[in-house]
Amino acid sequence: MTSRRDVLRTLSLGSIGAATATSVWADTLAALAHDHAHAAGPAPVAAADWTPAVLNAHQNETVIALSEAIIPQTETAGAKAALVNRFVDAVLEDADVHERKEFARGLAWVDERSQALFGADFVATPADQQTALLTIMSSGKAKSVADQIGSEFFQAIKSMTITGYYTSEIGMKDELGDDGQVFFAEFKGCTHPEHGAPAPARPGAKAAPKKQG
Amino acid sequence: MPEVFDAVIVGSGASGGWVAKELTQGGLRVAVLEAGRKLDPAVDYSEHKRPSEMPLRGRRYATRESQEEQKIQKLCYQCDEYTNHLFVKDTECPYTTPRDRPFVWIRGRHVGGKSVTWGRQSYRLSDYDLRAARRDGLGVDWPLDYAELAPWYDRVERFIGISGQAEGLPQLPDGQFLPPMALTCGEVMARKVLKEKFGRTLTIGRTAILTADLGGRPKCHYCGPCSRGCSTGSYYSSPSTSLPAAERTGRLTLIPNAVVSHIEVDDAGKCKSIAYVDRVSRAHREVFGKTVVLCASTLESTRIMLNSRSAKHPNGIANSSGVLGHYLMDHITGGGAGGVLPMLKGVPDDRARRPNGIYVPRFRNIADKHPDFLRGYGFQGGASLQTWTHGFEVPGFGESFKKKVHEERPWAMRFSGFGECLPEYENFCELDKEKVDAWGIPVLHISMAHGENSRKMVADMAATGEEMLRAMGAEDVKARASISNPGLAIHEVGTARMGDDPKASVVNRWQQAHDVSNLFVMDGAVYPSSGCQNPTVTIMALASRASAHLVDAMKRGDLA
Repeated sequence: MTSRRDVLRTLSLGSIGAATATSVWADTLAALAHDHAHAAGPAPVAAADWTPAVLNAHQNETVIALSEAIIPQTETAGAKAALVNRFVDAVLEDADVHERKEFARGLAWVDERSQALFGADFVATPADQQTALLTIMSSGKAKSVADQIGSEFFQAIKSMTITGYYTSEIGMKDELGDDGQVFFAEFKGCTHPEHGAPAPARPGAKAAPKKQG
Repeated sequence: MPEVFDAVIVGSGASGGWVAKELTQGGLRVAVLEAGRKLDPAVDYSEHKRPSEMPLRGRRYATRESQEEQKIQKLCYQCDEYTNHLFVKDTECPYTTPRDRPFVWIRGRHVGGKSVTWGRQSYRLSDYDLRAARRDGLGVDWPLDYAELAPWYDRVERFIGISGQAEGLPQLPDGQFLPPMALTCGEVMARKVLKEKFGRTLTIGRTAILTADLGGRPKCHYCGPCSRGCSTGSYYSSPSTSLPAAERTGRLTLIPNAVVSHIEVDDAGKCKSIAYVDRVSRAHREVFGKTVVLCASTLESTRIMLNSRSAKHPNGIANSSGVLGHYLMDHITGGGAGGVLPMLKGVPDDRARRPNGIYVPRFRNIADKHPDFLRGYGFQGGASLQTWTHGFEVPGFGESFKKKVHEERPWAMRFSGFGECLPEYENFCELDKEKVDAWGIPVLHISMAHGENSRKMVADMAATGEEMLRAMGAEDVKARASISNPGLAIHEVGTARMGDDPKASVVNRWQQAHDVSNLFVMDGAVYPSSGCQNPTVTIMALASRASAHLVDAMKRGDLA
């Protein structure tokens, strides 16, 4: 078990996005979700008739609500518009039985706790109650085994939301300002004398070597 | 009568494709055997694909299917949803290790081999490396010195194109460079601090990526993810550069899907042909050559030699010394440090994506003598603006979280060490006595572990990495000293080392087997010591030199 986590950490050396989830399954799902995707994206295929492969209708709605609560619409669109739920479903489709089961258990925990606190499922509660529940889940101060389940699930759904959102068309283009350009004339690098950048090179200072056969 | 080629080359990667170019241009008729298929850049390369086009957004662990078939390959940082088809299926070509001596063997079987996915960093060795044994008494020297190798580096660099900055350092000789890529803000600052406070050099990575058009290949357009293939052929890969040059001579026959089993010899014990299995039909075939050149990659070349047993060569061909398979090395990794540069807060990054990092050349055991370990290491890494991955460490959720991720984009800098691995007889490979691969060919049993020298070196990487970041004023500095499993640097070298003494080496100074005059090894297997520099450009320079010798010897009739 430890070695698997070590492997994840080894692979993320150099990335400051090391997952901080607290269990192996959450680590795995986070890893499934998080990788170093960094280019821009076009619009997701607009499949109006999309249906989830793993999530049931209620679970899908819950994932939409959770992801939107984590990355909401502001001046830019949020996780719901970015269709993060579809990404979550794709990750789950590729996950193993154990990971899927743990994810479903986490979703069920959210509704159970929401019922206990507010008398309604998560999707049926108003924004302030959703925020209150997520605050408990994200506090990192789980006192009981039950709280631990919620805390681990939060890390997993948060990691998946981050990856799903910032690698979507909306996330890349609108939120990160990356229009997806892939042809650049040059890489300018540092142009700030205050950082110690050298004066711009003289044009043609160093000619390319002659080509050979 | 089947055709008898002047030379049969096994492998089409960085070295095989290059040797094919050198030999065909030297007038030889050459066959190149490649275990895998031919790639189609339009389908197999995906450097311009965006994450939202990928169901799993390009994640590193690829798909469930590939996780089961590529349990080892997925440990490679380059093997992800975009590229998993550019790595072997471990289930098809397994190998074994002792339980307590794991080895990570990363491979690509297709025309071009690992030259399609490689890291492209290209550094010359110096006499600090080639003559290391006479300086500190450990291991053996190379049978040639830098002055002898330098013109061959020139030849390789001029043809494939290496961009870089001349620095005038004796331990890292300059080359025939295309214009250097630019440093980022954090790297410019680091260069100044490292020079002033430590007397160390930080230079832009010397990389096999064109910064000017060369030989009909256009310069880099800075899209970023080279490891997914390059549709414009702007970095050196065998299929973009060497193999087309070989094809233009009209003397190249490329045979893909040829999984080589062993070398057949004549009554005198000399190479006669290569026996292979068709990857798809599983049919057994043979191709005849006056000479055989192994460029199958360090461990595969040795596997073929070990599996070439005959009355003349009972322990494998070219193994009268008993050294074949021994002195396996791979660079030491797992030590370094990362941190955040607070003084750059708010400074925007270049929108172009530079597919290159920085290099801090070796500074240990050059002028002084380190008390804890022999040899040295260089740092690779860089400084760049994180756009969103820092979000995993931003606490909370909701509007304030989103705002923080947007506004608090950190400049992160990291140094990752690549260190010299000492040659040890006990680090070796042999044929597994039972297991065979999907084509019925015996697999390797690989037994390797990093020793005390390496562990101390990794500790020093972490300490010096942290020290440099702190000197720059970095915050949130995290040092790491956790030695990686052997193989994971993917710089495996040795097992058929070159030398003047036939009792202690497998090939001579011309990379020609001491025992078999028409057998050559022209890949990383011939390394007597590893240096700490990424090996490909050296493998190619050596191969260029050996190829010239082979052409001359054949013309003289010395190989008959």
